[in-house]
Amino acid sequence: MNPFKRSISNLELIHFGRDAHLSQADQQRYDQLFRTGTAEKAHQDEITKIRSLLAVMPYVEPRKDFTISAHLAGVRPPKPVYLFAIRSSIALFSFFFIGLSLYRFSPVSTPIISTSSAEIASSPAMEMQAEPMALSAPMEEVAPEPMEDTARIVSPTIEADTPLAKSAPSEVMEQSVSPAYADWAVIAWGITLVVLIFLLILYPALSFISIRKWKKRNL
Amino acid sequence: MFMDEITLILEAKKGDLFAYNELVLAYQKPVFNLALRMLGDGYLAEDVTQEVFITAFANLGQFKGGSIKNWLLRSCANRCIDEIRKQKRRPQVPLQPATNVDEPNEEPNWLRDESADPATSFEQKEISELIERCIRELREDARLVILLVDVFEMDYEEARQVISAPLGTLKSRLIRARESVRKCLITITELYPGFERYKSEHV
Repeated sequence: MNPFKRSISNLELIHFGRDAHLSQADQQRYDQLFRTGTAEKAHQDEITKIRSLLAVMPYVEPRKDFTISAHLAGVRPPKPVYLFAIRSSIALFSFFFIGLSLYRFSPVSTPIISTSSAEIASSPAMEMQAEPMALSAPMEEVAPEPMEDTARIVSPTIEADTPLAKSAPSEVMEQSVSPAYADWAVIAWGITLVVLIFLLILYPALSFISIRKWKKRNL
Repeated sequence: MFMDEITLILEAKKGDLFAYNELVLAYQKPVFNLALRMLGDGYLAEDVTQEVFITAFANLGQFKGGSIKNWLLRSCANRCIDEIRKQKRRPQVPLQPATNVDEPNEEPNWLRDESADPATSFEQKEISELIERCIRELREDARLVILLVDVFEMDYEEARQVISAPLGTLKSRLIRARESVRKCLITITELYPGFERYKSEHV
């Protein structure tokens, strides 16, 4: 019998009989086939020999390791949670800092205590400025009167010597300014600045340390 | 799958390269050998193996469990089939120098096993090359199946997982592959008498 003209079912029996991948019915056919057919047995022996040859083919040792680096894998070091917290704090303090700076340095926020031009000119302070320092009276005598809480604050758009009567009432802002409040603003501004500088130094330092730790472990 | 391997996979899924590289070291040999037998070129097999491990790391989230070795081998097999099809579309001429006028140097020097006796080693190498040549003549799907079942000695279920095909498909491909190799080796036996002696000694 020409081995290449065997039926597919017989080939299945030959190939899978040895592997025990036959059903009960096929197993019976397999036993029957090998009792009668010597050509099939010879064919199966050949297949077995080929399988043995294939199985002893040597494994080749790879010349190098295929481990991958972070760069190769496109992995960036993970950022720890505390770095995220610091970054959020920096954003928050920056916001405070900008707000306080605007309040502290903006001309709008600078309290300019103003009365009329005549009052300014006749005020003891102006008089003191006009007199030579040597002749000036002791500070107690020429000291201005305590500032009233309801001092008028003039908008920077209005010049100091503009008669108030000429300007529209809407251009004049009146605001109650407490010296204690002004002090608090300056202190808050200073503290915010210090904290912000500290965080701006801390963030890159901790980033560097965490990346270095990660690289030590992974590379 | 042992417990350590599960831990390593979980760590690697979180992006731990150290854990992943442990898996690479454990499975680089079968993956490289599959690529080598499929492609028949050591340098190309190295490139493919490296690509497989890089891609596998990126797609590790898609690994749903089971055997990571089979998953890697499947990835390697798919990559090799792509490479073979690419080569068929655009055949490339190797830059390696030819040993004989007719026969190109298919195996680089580093693949040779220097430990054995030179005569035996030579004979074994010759036989290996003949078998490999027979395997390389197969279609890529049949080649993959015979490599998995007969060379790497996987059981049918494992091999089925690697090729992602039904058991019937695996069996039919296996029959086709074995019959083709048998036919090829019969021809070689006629051309190369030493082969019959080698078979009787080693089988």
